[in-house]
This record gives sequence, structure tokens and C-alpha cells, in this order.
Amino acid sequence: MNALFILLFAVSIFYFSISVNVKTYIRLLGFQGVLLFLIALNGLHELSYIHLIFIALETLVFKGILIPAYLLNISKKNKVTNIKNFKARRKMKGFYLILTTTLVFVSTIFLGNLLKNDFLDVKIFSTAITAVLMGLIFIVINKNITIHIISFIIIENGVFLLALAIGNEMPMMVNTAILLDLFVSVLVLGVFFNKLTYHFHNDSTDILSKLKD
Amino acid sequence: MLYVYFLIAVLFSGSIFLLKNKKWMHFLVYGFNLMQLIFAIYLYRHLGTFEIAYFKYDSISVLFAFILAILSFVAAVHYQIYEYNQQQSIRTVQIHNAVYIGFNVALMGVYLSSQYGLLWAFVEATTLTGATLIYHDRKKIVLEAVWKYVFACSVSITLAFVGILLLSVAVQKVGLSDLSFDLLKSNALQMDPIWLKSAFLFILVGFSVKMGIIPMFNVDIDAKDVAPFPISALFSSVLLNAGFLAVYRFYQMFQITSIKPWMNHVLLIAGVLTLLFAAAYLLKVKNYKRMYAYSSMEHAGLVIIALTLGKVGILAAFLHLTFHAIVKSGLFFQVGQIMRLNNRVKINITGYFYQNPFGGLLLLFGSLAILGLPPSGLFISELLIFKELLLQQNWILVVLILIALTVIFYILLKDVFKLLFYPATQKFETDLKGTVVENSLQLMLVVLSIYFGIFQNHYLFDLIQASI
Repeated sequence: MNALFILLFAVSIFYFSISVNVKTYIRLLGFQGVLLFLIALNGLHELSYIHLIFIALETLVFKGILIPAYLLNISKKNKVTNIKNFKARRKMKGFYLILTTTLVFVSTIFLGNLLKNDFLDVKIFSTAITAVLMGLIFIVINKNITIHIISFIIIENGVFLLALAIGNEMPMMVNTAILLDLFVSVLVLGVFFNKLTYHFHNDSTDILSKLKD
Repeated sequence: MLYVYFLIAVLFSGSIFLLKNKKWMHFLVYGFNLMQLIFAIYLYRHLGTFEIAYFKYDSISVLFAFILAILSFVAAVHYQIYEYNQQQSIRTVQIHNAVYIGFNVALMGVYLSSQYGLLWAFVEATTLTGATLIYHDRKKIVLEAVWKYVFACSVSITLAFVGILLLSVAVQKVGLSDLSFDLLKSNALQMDPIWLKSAFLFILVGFSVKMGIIPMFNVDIDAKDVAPFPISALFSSVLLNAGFLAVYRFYQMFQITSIKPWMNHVLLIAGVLTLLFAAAYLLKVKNYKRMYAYSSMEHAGLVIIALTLGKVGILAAFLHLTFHAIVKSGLFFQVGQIMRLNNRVKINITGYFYQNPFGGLLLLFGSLAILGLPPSGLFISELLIFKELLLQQNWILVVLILIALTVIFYILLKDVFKLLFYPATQKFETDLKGTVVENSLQLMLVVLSIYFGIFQNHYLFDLIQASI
């Protein structure tokens, strides 16, 4: 069952490469949040209520509902619907992006098998590293700030998946601090994104070129 | 005591939002700073002890805590003068002062954490609080810098977290689950080098944004450019120290393993490239804030190189960080006065020595000190670095470093001399000259750096020696 969820997560990364619609991106983020919950739930060896609540909060509530709702709200408020409505667009064509995603995915599968050990789930590891790398590539090739935030959350989801692949549980205090930080960082990014679009009336990265030597 | 520190910080920070009087807001920040200084003394008296399981008072954390306590107070005084001259609203001062306390706590958390996950969380907290502090003047250009800073820091620190996760694979393979520094150090030799190497790469890249080194230095320079002067001073000193510590903790734990030569190579490449980039960017720099920000980048590069030079190099690195923090913050405070007198900090300002003789003198001594000229403390640390470099006969490295430092030396001196001694071409407001308090504090910083250069302070040396 877990293999199916991981496969769906990997497919969602490919879907990010195909789509250009911001609403689709946000829905995909919500979908990834739910998948992360299911993958984490399947990976739990002992069902402790505290861990269950913690994972549900981090994935279902936070990544599955709150972040997508928040992003949808700010993108509606700033009238961001489709990348094509803006002058700033991707620096890479869709076909090449899918090709890149495939190459990255195949490379990470090879890497995962190369590093294989008893403490590493290769399927989750490869998908996680693909998500992190593709998130970085999305940031580089997109010229819209909205897509940058979405790409950052894809990286965050990849990191969460990587933590699941490794399976090493950190102490609760550290976990709480990490969750709190992630919460606030997305919130702060959202707040400043609102301010940017309010002042510049645009979400293209071209507006961020005044500061230089 | 740590609980008391956190509790007072929360109380003071929260209380600021209930106040309507700016003076009381500043008073609370001073109160917090006093408490922070007492806390640093407490840390010194309890060296080597643990608190709340995840915090350890080792010598390096105590040294950095002292630097934070002193510079944070000086920066708070300068901020009060800054906001008074800018006629900032009560709301702006309220937010700034409340978050300022949070920023201090986050930095203290980075210094005292004895667990890598927790250290990461505190570094992330410095980004969030730091971004609010930068966004003080609410201008478009500030917004641009803040956005870049928050975004680049968030991505970088997430990469550092990937490094920590990769480290935990190595940890699991030897049957451990905790990421505390002591435990990792005692089991370092058993860990798989491949995982350690990949973890180190991610951690170095991730925390480079805080230290202002290659590859993520740009946003740090922009942040220092647009932030209020006291905040630029703290970013160039105590935040740089925090970034260094985050990298050093890893290096310290695994320097006994087979990956040490590899880590040294990576650090040398990062250090030399940082120096060369700093020199190249300084060639086209157009304002004094950016100039001193790139100078911080240069010193961060030197410190990273020093780290690879064995025990003497590590001693030099910590001495360098200490002296650099003292001198560089003083310089940023003085650039604040230039801004007040001229309404700009562009390189084309001239005649500052005639406008503000005492401030000019401080700027001159500060600039000479930051260039590592005797009797500055930085002369001692740079001498140690070069002595080790020459002893190791790494001639290509020596030549590259010397070229970069010569360019930086020339540009900094040229621009500072132009600012100080060329005839004034602009009008200035005499009543906005430095107050006695700010001049005294800046003088204290310059004198402190010279004092450390002439006299060997055994408290300082003992603290550093204990951590090597």
C-alpha cells in the first residue's frame, strides 16, 4: 500500500512539471500533504497517540489543509491564476522540464540503490531527493514569486519525506521546534508576499532588481 | 537559569506590546540586555554544565554569549538614537524592540544548543526575527531585500536540514538515534564517511547564508545594506558568529575521522572563493554600508580558511571572529552617523573628518583595525593565519589570499581616505553629530580591539584554548 502512496507522490512531482496553473499547483500541494500523512501512518511501527497527533497536525492539518488554503487565499487576493497571464514565465519549456524530472528521478533511484542500507527506505529516499531537487529547479526556472513559494513547499515536502525514509525520530522538543519554525516561515513568506504584491502590483521576479552594487 | 532567561525574554518582549511610551520600550530592552549580561556571567561560572538536556555551556558558546551581550546593548543604545532621529512611529519601535529580544534569544539558542536539530531550529528563528528587524523602514527597496533574505535563508536552511537528516543516517548505522554533539563526537570514528561527507556539504551550503560566505552570500549583503545600522552591525558580528558555529560544530565533531582532509579541501575552496568574490565585488561597490558588508564577507572567508590550519588556525579563527565582531559593529555604528549627517552613505561623500572630527577619527582607527594593521587584535589573528599558511608551504593559496587582501586593502583605504580627508562638497547638519553616549560606546569598541592586540587577555585565550 505504501508503495502506491509513494508512486502517487512521485507522479505529483511530474504533474507539477506539466501544469502551469497556480490553482492546480496549490491543489497538488494539498494532495501531497494527504499522501505524506498516509505514508507516515504506514511507516509507524508503534502507534503512539502523541506521534499520531503530531504527524496528523504536521501533514493533514498543516501541509494538507492550512498551507494550500492560505496560498489559495493570497493568490486570489493578488489575482494570480495562471502563469500565462503574466509576462514572466518559465525559462524552460514543458517538454524539457518533464525530461529533467525524469532524469532527476532515475538518477536518484540509482543513487538510492548505491547507498542502500538497513536504515534507508530506497523508494522513499529517491522520491524525497527528487522532490528537493525539483523544488530547487522550479525556483530557478520560474520567474513568478508565487511559484517560488510553492516550490519552497515542494522542497519542504521532500525534506519531510526524507525524514520518513531515514526513520530516525528526533526528541519531541526538537520536533516541535522544527514544526513551529516551518509554520512561521511559511506565514512570514506569505506576509511578505502580500506586501510585495501590494506595493509592486506584480508577482514577477523582475520587480526585485533594484538592489545591486 | 536558562528557564529564567527564556521567561524574562518572553515577558519583556510581550510587555513591550502593552506599552505606549517609547522610553519604557527602550528601558525594557536595556533591562533584557542587563539580564543577558548577567546570564553570560552565569554561563562562565557554570562552564561545561548541561541545562534542560539540550543546552550545554561550553567555552565557545560562553565566549559568543559574552560578545552578544555586549554588542546587543551597544546596538540597543544606537537604535534608540536612530529611531529618535528618524521620528519612527510607536508601532514600529514596538515591533522592533519586541522582535529584537526574540532575535537575541534565537542567537543565544544557537550558541548554547547541544543538539544539531535544535541548533537548526534556532538558526531558522534568527531568519524570521532578523527579517522583521530588517523590515524597519517600510520602503520598497527594503521589502525587496527582506523578501530575498527570507526566501534564500528559508531554502538554504532547509538544505542544512537535509544535511542533518543525512547525518542521522550515519548515526543510525552505528546504533544511535540522538544528534547531540558529545555523543556524535564520541562515536565519530565508527560512522560511514560517505554520509558524513554529503551531510557536511549540505550543512556548509545551508549555513553559508548566515555566515555570508560562498555560495549564498548575496542576500546577506543586501540585508546589511538596507537594515537599520544597529541591525547591520549585529548581522556582521553576532549572526556571522552563529553561522560559523553551526558549521564549526560539525567540523569539531568529525575532525578526528578520515573525512578531515576532505572537509579541509571543501572549506579551503569556499574560503578562497569567498575572499576572491569579496575583492571583486568591492571593486564596484558604491556605498559604505555595502563596502563594510563585503569586508565582513572577506573576514568570514579568512576564518573559514583558518579553520583548516590545525589547532593554531582554529585559535586564530576564534580570535578573528571576536575582534572582527567588536570592530565591525563599531564601524557600522559610525556609518550610521555618516548617514545622519549626509542623508546618504554613497562613496562620493567627502570631508567627513571636517564635519565630525571625533567620528572621523573613530572611523579611521576602526578601518585601520579592520584591515588588520597593528595594534589591532585582528593583526594577531591574521599573523597566526599567515604563519600557519607559510609553515604548510601552500604557496598557491598564499598568493591567492594575498592578491585578494591587497585589493581589499587598497579599496577600503582609498574610499575611507576619500571620505575623511577630501574637501567637503555637501552641506551637513551640525546638530546631528554623534552624542557623547554613542561616541563613548564606539570608542570603547575601538579601544577594546586595540587592547586585545597589545595585551594577551587570559580569560579570552583560556576560553578559546578550552574549545580546541
